[in-house]
Amino acid sequence: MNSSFDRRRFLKAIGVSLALPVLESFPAASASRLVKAPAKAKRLVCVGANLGLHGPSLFPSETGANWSLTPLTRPLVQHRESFSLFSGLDHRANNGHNEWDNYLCGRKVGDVSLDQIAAEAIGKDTRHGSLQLSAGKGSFRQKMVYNRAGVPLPMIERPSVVYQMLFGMPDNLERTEYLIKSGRSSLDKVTDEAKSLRGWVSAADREKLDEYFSSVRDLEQRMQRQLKGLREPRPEVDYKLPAFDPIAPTLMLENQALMYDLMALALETDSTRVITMFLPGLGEVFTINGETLSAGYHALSHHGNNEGMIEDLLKVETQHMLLLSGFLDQLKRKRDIEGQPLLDSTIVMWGAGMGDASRHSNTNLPIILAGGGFQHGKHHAFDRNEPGAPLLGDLYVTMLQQLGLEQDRFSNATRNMNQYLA
Amino acid sequence: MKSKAGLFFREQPRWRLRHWSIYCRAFAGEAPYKKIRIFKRGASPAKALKILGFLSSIFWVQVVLGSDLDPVPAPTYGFLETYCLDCHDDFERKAEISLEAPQIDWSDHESLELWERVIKVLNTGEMPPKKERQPSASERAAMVEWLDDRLLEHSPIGGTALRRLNKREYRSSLNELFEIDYTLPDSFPEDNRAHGFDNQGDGLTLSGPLLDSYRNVANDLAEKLFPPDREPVEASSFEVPGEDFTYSYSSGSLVDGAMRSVSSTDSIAMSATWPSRHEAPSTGRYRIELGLSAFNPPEGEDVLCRVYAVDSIQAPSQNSKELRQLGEFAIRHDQPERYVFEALLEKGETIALRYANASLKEDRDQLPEHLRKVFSEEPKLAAAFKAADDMEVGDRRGTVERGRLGWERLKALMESDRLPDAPQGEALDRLIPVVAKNLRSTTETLAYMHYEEGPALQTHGASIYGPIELADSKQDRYWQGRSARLIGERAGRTEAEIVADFVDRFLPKAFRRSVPEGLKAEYRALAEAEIERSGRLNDGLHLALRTALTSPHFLYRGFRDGELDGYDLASRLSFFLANRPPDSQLIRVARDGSLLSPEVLRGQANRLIDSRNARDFVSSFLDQWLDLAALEDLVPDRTLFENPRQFNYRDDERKAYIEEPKLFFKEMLDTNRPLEDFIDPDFTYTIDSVSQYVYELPVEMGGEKGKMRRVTFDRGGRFGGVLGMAGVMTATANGVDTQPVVRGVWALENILGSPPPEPPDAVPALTPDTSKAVTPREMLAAHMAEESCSACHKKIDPVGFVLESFDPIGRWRETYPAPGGKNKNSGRDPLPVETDGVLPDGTELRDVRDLKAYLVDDIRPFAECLSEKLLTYATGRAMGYSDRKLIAQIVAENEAKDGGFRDLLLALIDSESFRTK
Repeated sequence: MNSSFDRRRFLKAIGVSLALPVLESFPAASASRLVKAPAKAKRLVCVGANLGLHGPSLFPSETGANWSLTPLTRPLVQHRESFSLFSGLDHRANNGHNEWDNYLCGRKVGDVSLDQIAAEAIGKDTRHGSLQLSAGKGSFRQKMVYNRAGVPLPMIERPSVVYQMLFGMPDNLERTEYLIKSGRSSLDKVTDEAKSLRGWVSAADREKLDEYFSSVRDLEQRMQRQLKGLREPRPEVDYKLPAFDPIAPTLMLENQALMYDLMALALETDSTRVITMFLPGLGEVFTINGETLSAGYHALSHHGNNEGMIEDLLKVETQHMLLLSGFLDQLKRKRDIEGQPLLDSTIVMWGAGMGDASRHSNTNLPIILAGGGFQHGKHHAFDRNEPGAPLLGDLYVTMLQQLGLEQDRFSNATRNMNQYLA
Repeated sequence: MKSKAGLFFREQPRWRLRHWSIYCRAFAGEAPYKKIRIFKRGASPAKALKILGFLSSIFWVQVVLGSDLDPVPAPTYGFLETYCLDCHDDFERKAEISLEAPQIDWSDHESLELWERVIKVLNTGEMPPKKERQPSASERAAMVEWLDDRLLEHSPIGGTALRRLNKREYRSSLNELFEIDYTLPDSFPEDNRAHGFDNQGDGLTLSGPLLDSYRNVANDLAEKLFPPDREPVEASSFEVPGEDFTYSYSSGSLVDGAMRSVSSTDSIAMSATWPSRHEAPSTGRYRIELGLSAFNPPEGEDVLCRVYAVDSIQAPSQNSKELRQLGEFAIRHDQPERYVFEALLEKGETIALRYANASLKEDRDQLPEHLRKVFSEEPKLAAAFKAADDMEVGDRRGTVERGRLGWERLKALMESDRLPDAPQGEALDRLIPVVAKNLRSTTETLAYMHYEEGPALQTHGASIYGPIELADSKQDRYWQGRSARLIGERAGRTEAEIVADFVDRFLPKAFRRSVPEGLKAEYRALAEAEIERSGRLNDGLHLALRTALTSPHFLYRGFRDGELDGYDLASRLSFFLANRPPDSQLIRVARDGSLLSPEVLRGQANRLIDSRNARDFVSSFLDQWLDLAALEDLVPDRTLFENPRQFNYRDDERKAYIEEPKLFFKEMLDTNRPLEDFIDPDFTYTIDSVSQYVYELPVEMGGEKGKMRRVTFDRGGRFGGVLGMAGVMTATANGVDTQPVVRGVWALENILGSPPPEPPDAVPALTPDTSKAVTPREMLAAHMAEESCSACHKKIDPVGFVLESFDPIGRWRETYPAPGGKNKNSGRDPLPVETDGVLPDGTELRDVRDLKAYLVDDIRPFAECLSEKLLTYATGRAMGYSDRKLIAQIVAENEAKDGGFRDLLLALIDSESFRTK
């Protein structure tokens, strides 16, 4: 059998058997993290770009509020007061391909990621505890989101699957219903078997079998809820996807645009409050505004300071920023239940686990932080070699606190950056 | 009186509570039957109270019979009084131990542990302390005998809790049952560990979410093996214009609405083009119509277009050599012509087109030839490459940019006034290898030349209609094959026969034993009722299958108490040595009962040890015993690598660290090596870079890089054996620094077999910071001064210090890293590693070599320790006093007859501990 885990099969399997929202699986232990005081932010969006951004074209030379526009901040100009830009932050981890994955984990790849910590607290009351997306295929087996057990969570690459999950009925509704309903007679059968075993095991093992009985009861309730949820009405949205998923690597920017639309809809309908999106960086050659670029995206990022390549690279990265800008627009236009712009209570972070793709350097990560009720508008620059320079994890602590979590450490970070955003 | 007692009942913990309730009765005037100690010392009020309590409790023992408490007979208690209680009574509680218990609750696990420690220190002479009054030999022997009897009586061999299959065993059971290689979903829960292992009865709990995971896997397998009827799919037509063809890197270029392909490189990402918006909606036959033409084909040659089936998403990572070829067309016209054919596409596949006979190819042999050809046609191009080669571009001299930018530069150079003369003859011969050396870059740059000038295959568009008829996908066929093996031929048999046959054959395999007729009948009835309801045979088989896969008979093993029967013994043996359920041979000897005989049991054990599957046992056992699994995630501090080019714990080195103990262990087992070789062997397995830079061994040149090989060395050295393996020493550190206490405790627990008790509460864990000018030894000295700490640290520290010679990645060191890490300007000298120490029995250790010599000198403690780990892993329970006594006996017998490690393992398997649930 093909041992590689086929994504399509996986999604099919989800359809068959995991139609229950993911939020069920969170450990209850973390519930106490939530503080009683009302949180300033309620939602979290983290975008991670495989190839990062060209630093010199992103970071202004000035710090504070009066920074001048750079090629990559220009697309965001109308949101200038709604985001902060950070330079010089990182996780103090090693360089190299594999370490990219620590973007949301902190120093060590595989530690529970920022979004999942948040989801444990703020993801309980929505149909989906969190959504993990990827704007198309990431063929370097890149991972970004890790749960508490250190398991990387799969990312959905097709807009149509996200749409279906959020707003559609499962494809194979009848089959799923059949499996649940017939599964009940299966559970009755195995319960009978356990009962007859109970008669002749030792007293100590009867306790073990009691575990089995209580698990069966728990599972019966889960199946009941799942069955009920299957035909539960989904939020109605006035949005139409194109007939075909832009899943080919060349269509990554198109995919990204659709994903942003769906993310805004997911937040607006309160289908989830935690979303991550990965932006792959493969060899695809983009055609932007009718012009086919000189080389694949990945090759461009390894520009070796060649001006022509940087020029084309910036064309791709400008698209990333324009798409982000459009997403922020949507979050400003769309309102929460209280009639306030969604962005006011949604933290949006756009960043990467790589600071300079040309050198595979994992320092000086590009970090753009928008919304979430923070004071924005400034460029904060840090020198990582200064003693006491903040870590990216310090910013994560601030973000988690803003979301109402009692959190004073993250990975190797033990401080916060509240003073920069208040 | 009663009300007073009631008050105590509420406030005192259980033991105390009884203790004090007696006190009350004693106060009521009933005389204690024995008087000891009362006049021994001047009685302080506290002592008096204590003594009264003690006396009364003895009285109480007389009154309350039949409780779980066992009275301590007078002479024994006298011994404790005389030699132990001065320090270890409820008042002093030295080392947090009180033996002031006139009755002992033997059902309490903690008290079993406590009294086992007592018998151990009495046996070794550790207690009473040398400076205190010593019991006579006969007094000591009597005490030991009494304790031994009690402990044997109250820790009977056996008692593994009903054992759920752990994740490993569950997966391998599914794989064996269906002959598949199944990957559990990422969300499948992990198991708890208990007693150091992931397969212990009392650690393997079951919960709703886990049962749900079992159900999901069972559903998934049943859907594959007994799928529902296929839904009909309507055929549809899909038009792909030229501009909807896509490519990756430089594998195509769109010119006037046609996609040009110019390279015959094997990889799809470097040569082919495919529709970006098409994928087959279901597996079936499709009619495919292509519009193709040849652009500037070479003189007298057709352009050969090969069509492949690619995964619409994975296409860029696929290689044409491994793909299904759907068609091949020779194209000679420069005007588009239609090519029509039918082909099978799997769901999610689309077509990819490639110019299969293009002269341009990313290939070491072919590119130089191609260059020679294009240079002879266009000598200026060679001149341009030559010019670029002479120029400095950034830091990369002579490199023409990859892809279009490179081609643009070459074009500019060709038109420049300063273009040198075209190289010819020897100059050309020299240039070609230089240009061809940048294989990928040059290929992609030349591709852009061919996009402009040809020769190229042009794809103008495609139309794909279907499915004309549905077909089975590769996956479908795979599972159909598996399904057929489960139920045999369907034709010519009634549904009832098929169901009965499936149930009869499948259940005993799934449940690992013969299944009573009644249970089989229930499964048949379940399946038949479902067939009745739905009208489909598959639905009945589906339900029976997923029910069996969530049945307690499948998920648990070891329902019967006492001595294992043949089937349970077969399961225990097979999950132990092969990490999977018993095979047909084992089931056969289980069924006829012959497995219970020592000869057959040992024969089967030998067979399993010699089989391939034993690798799974070795791997899983060592991952846990030596914690090698931790190495997968460990990230050593970068400052540890002075010369990262030589050695930096890169992937093959990490793998060598993990594999070394396993290959070593396997040889120990396969060749029945003496147990001493675990400690001080003359061989190991590793790769050259570890050999050279970690073990400081001479390395023969010319070996295959990164290949594990057997290396030999002299005994008695620093490295070698479980105490000298880099992986083991790395696993006992944290990648940054080492902690003598952590390693010391680890060695006591896993090598010397005398784990220290838990540290007292209220004592912070010691984490020496070696970056300060204080050695761990100085910091630990504080422990030796504190009496409550010293009892254990006397044992822990000397072993821990000896292991300080190994740095966090297992290399030998004489000094600690200079304070301030790599920054050598701190001006302080590195601190020396001091390894000398004295073991509690007075043995002096200078470094790890002395510790090894000490262990080899009497190998029994190590052999007992390893045996205990093996039996814990095999039986799924913690070993008790009786087990340990049996182990000691087995080890001694094995030693007496000069047995090796394999002999020992076989004896353990043939022991009562292994054969009892």
